[in-house]
Amino acid sequence: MLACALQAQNAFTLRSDAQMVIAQSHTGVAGLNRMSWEHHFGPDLDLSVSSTLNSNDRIIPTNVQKLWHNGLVDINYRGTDFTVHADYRNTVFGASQLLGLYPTWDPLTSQKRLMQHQGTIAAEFDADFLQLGGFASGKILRYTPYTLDLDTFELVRQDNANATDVYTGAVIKVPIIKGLATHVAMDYKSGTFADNGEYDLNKLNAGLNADYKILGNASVSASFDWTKRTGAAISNGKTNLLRSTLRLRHRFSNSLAGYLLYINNSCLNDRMKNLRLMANYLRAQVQYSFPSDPTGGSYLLVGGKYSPENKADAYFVEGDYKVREKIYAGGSLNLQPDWQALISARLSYYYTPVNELHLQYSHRQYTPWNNSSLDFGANYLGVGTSFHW
Amino acid sequence: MNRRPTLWLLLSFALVLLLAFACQQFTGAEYFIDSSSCNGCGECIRICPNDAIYYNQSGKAEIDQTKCTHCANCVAICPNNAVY
Repeated sequence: MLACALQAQNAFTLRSDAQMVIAQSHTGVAGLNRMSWEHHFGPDLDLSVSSTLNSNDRIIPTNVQKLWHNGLVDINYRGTDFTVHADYRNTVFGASQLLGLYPTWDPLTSQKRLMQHQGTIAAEFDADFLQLGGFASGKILRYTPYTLDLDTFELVRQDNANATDVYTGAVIKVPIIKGLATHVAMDYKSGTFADNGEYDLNKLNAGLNADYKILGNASVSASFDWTKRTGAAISNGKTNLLRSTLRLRHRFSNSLAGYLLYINNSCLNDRMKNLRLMANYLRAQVQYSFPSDPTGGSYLLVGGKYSPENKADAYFVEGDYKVREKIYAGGSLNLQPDWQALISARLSYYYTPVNELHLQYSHRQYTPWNNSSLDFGANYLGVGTSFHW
Repeated sequence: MNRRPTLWLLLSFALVLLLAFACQQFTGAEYFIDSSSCNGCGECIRICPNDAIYYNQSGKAEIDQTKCTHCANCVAICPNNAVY
């Protein structure tokens, strides 16, 4: 956390981790190497570049590749009353598992993913009485298709192909009074890889946002959004999406802060009838920073989320504590009752205020019904370091 | 305290609560991402077998509902528990 907090300046950071994986069916290794560079070209222009290489010697339920690389180039320019943003991201997949190629598209074709690229350009203009925004984003998945030969029942490799999605959108926001604003937005998405337009989607959105400070150290915000979605993939019963959001933030003291968030997603059919529930989401978390550590590196975070409709409940605790000069001990527990439990412990030695070495142990245990392979539980024991220049 | 923002705020609360209690009949699942909890790490994008998650203009992950098959792999992989 200490290192992350200091990345906000012009900086180059390097983080490396190597772990031994001990599971019921095998013992292997996993690794992570991340480099990032942030630079401010004057007060208006920021550039950040990052490269993350992950490897895992075995495909496990939540890793469909053994090797993958994430790259990012991100540029932001801030003018007097406008901002322009552009980024390029890619993921290069190595040793990918054979995956279905969008089941509704072609059930006889499978694919191995090669690369995924995404480029985005966005701009915002901010006048006192009006805010305008727009974006365009293109995503390309490059893959190797394999088609099932019905005579031999063997998968036959085909030439590499691309699947392209294009996302565009524009929004107008109008402040009504202090603390209250309204907005209208239009989004259009085109899945150009399907000739029949099956993956195209039009969205028309309108909503209200209220944001207000209360009692000095607390704020409350609420929003209501209606989105009309038109596309072959959206069933008539879910045409009109209604999203209501309520958030309470409170800083109880200099050391203790937290928030409570509730989101309700409901829908109406294409005739604006039959109100149905899609998902509830309630989240609360509180963070306590130990006053004994003025860097803020010693903290305890406790939280939970409740989302029963999508089996996405979770309860989590994490913390780090300065036990001695230059030495931090920390750990975390992330319990997702319907999926898995993750427990980790970490011991870090800061040989400078921003550079550290650490030992880490973690254990992942999948719930029995999510046991899609022998590796339903695994221990990870590793060492790592992070440098900051 | 200005009265008009308070009034709008109370109306917003009422609307949120009304929807919360009115919509008790569940329809089929759609997964969403809490953008305030997403840190843009991209793990869900990598893990999604249907290439159904992308970065929005804020650098946060967003689910493309036209391609999502509700496998829920993203729920388990998200380090910030941002998928619901």
